[in-house]
Amino acid sequence: MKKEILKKQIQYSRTYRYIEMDKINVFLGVFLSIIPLCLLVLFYYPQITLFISQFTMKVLSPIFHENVLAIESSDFLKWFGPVYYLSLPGRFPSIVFIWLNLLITLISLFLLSSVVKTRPLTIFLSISLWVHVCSAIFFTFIPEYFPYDATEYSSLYIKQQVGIYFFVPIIIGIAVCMLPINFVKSWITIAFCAVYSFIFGIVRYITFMFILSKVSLMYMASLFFSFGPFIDFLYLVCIYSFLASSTADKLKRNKGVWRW
Amino acid sequence: MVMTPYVIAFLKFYFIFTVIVMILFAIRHFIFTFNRMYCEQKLYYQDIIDSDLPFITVLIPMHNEEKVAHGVLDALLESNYPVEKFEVIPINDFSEDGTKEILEDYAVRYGNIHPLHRNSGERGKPAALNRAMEMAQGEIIVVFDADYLPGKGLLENLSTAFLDPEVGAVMGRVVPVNTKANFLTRLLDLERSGGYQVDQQARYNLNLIPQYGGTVGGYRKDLMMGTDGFNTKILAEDTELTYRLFCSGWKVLYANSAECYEEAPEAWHIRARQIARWSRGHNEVMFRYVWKLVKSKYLSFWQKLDGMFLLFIYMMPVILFFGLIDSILLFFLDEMDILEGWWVLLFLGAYNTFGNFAPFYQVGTANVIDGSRERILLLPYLAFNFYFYLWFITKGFFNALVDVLTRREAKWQKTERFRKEKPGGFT
Amino acid sequence: MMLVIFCCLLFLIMIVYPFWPGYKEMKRGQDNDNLYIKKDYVKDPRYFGLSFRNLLEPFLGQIRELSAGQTLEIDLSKKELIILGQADKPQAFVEDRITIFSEDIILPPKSTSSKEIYAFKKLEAGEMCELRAVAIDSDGYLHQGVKIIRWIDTKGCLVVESNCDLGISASSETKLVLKGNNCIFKRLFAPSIEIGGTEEFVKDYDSSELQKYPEYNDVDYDIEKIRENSVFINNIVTHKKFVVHNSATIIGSVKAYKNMCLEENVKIWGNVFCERDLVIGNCCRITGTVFVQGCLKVGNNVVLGEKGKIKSVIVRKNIVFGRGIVIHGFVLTEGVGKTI
Repeated sequence: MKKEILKKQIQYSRTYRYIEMDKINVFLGVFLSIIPLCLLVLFYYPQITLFISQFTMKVLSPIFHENVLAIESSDFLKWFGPVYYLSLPGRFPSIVFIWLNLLITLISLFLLSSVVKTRPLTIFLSISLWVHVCSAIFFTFIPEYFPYDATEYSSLYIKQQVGIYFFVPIIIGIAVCMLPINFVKSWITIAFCAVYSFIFGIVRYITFMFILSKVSLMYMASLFFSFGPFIDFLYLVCIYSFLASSTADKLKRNKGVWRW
Repeated sequence: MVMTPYVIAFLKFYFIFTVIVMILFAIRHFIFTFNRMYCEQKLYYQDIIDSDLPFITVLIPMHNEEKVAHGVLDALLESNYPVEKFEVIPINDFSEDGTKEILEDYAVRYGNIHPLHRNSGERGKPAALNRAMEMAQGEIIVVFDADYLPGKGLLENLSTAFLDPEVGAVMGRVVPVNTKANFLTRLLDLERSGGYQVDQQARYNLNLIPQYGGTVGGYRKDLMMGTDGFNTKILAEDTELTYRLFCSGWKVLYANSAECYEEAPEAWHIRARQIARWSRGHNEVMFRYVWKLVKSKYLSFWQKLDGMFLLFIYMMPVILFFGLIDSILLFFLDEMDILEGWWVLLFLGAYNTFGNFAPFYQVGTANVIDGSRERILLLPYLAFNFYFYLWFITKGFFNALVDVLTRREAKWQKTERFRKEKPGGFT
Repeated sequence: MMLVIFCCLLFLIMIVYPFWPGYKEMKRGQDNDNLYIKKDYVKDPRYFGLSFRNLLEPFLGQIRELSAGQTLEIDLSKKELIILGQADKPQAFVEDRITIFSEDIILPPKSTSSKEIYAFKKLEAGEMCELRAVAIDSDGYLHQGVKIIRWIDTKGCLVVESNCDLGISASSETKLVLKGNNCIFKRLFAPSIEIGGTEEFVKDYDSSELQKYPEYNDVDYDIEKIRENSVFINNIVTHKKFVVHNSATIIGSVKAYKNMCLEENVKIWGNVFCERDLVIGNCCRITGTVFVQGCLKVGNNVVLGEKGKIKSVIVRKNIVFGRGIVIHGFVLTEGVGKTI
């Protein structure tokens, strides 16, 4: 009999349908991409951080005098080696600069709270601006107690970045394993995310070091809290959303994969 | 800087505590998402056909609902539930617009619509429901908010839950009808999918604590009447009912097939008020039910654990808010050494997995199951909602704290409607 | 310096880019509709048959004017050809025509149909027929080995012999008799469903029997068993393996989280919900709805439901029915239903 008359199945509605897990695909796709990437970061972070530092030094050196920039190292994980980071001078803000920043920040906060009150972006910006206010007050009253110079911040950033490189494959892997896709797609997605993260980490590092050394150390806290791991979350979710959207599209055309 | 070591130790401890709590919630959400996507689902009773249907009373609290009143009443009149077995009590609660006239008109035309007009006494939804239950003839009460549009078979679908002797309440799935209105409604549509299609359904699958949401749901009248009705001091009467039932041996069922349209808020300030109110109400319930939940002899360990997670769900943003302040303080105190070493890995992983109020993969999975496609691309925008919720939920939490400590009474606030009303119908 | 500027710009682009696909979707609105809810959806166990008849309703006049062998083209969801089948010599079936029989018809053995059949009067399907869907306005009879691909619905009595496959749904407005053994089904509906080969079924009990018992309105928890010949009056919710011994009576509904077993001659005046497997022994009676998240096995001479009412037997996994069973209402399994 033709396929059509043999069609017995009713299309499953969204209420209770699910997908039978393809354990092999999930295992291959997720674990065989997460584990190598995580191990790569764990065992090779000294080399990775050295590369990042050297590249950053190369990019920034034209705007500094000779021998100002250097690469230093410090301990990180006990058995895995040191991290390398760029050593560079920071730009300490003048009192005029601090007060000007404080004024602009407070005006911005006032405008945000009175003109554009309840919006997610407003609240995010407000929190960032408040961090900057704290920083400005710190520099106004107790600048000698500011805990970081540019080099120390550079070290902090690199250590944070190693953590991001380690965790991004895990988080995207957890998300991807919820989607019924074949392992090649999983690999590509996780690898792409890792590469994006790697490049992003480098350009962010360059940008931050440039700002701290050529503009002001005062922006350190804002940069750390506003453009830190939270921003990594954005591209990770974006990449996941592409994958989820294409998976949903495929599932819509291939209804036979659903179970009830 | 010199600070007492104890203060520093406390700040570090709180930081680690935040990370651990986030990890626990992340694990919970992972389990739910995995369960919903890959495991056989526990069916609700939607296929049951039973000629012995209970008499139900549909309650619709209304305060200045002239824009939407026609919609919900017309939809209920189309229901296939036998006319002799249900009544509708729209509760005109201190309305100042044309709500009263609309309800009176329906009462004249339809014998099973009996409006209740309230102009005195306590205000607010819980008080209105209590008053209406006194005159309700039904053994089952079904509640809809005024902006809802129930389908023809929804009442029957919800009523079959009560054939189960353990069921005290049932909750259906809420679906925004105004998804395309603006950016906010599109984000809310994503969140609703995650919350119902994955979170509620997984909790139902795993025999944990699905929540009664106060609308598109029903409960046994005698359970409420026997315990003096809803607590009018609490804004989240639905959450309070959930815990009251579970702690005394009853169950709340989640009916994923009982879908109903609602109107999602279309303005951010409305959403902010709504979420702050939910937070305030939910946290009020948390303060009252934490110990009762632990002591309940009717719940298993896992149910108690999930119940705790659910109770604290509106406290999580508060914890994160203080976690953010804590990490800022640690930063300025040069005590970020906990970011060195392997703690940084935990922090980053936990923070990013739970960086949203609901993990992005839960929302994504829900939309894949729903068959949605391009809307999933809006997921990155939910990241900023995290700060939005952080702020207003924290505000609601502190209001709840003050309510409990000072026994202050909360004032009920209705969510503003946006639907454009046609005479005798809706748009 | 250019390289620095380039890196800073790249940084900004990489921050902003994740919002770009969502922004495009916001502007284009390709997927901005509400999730579709079928607002006029109602449960109807005879949905397939009734909706098919409704679709043909506007064309019945034209159909009645057809003579045997004539065809008519109509517009349903797509263009369909209808042919009026011949009563004495049924037309050889072709795959793309809906067949109407206006007189009593006996389909020869091994007949096949890839489209719906609509019989205004009686229809009898010979052995080993394979039919996509059948609507009958009178009585229906399926001989051994008939396979229904999708559904069959009758207004009169539907009788089914052994080794039949009843497809997704078999329903009747009056009565459904599975008199043979080894039948397979997913959904059954009729005010009275009789399963088993014997003509004499155990009489339905008298529901006035219930009046001699006091009213109940409470729940007893975690009971493991009901003793033989005892009467238990109350609802039961148990997290333990639950056994109701011979000839016991429960006045109330039962919810069991583990396996449940009703031995012989048990009566339950209420509903039964079981989160795992349920075994119903011989000669048991359950007046209410039975809902099982696992498998259901029903012995001989069992009555489920109540005469004059519609109740349901809903099973997540497989059902096995014995002989001499009467069910009043609706049977549904998400697994495989079988009669032995």
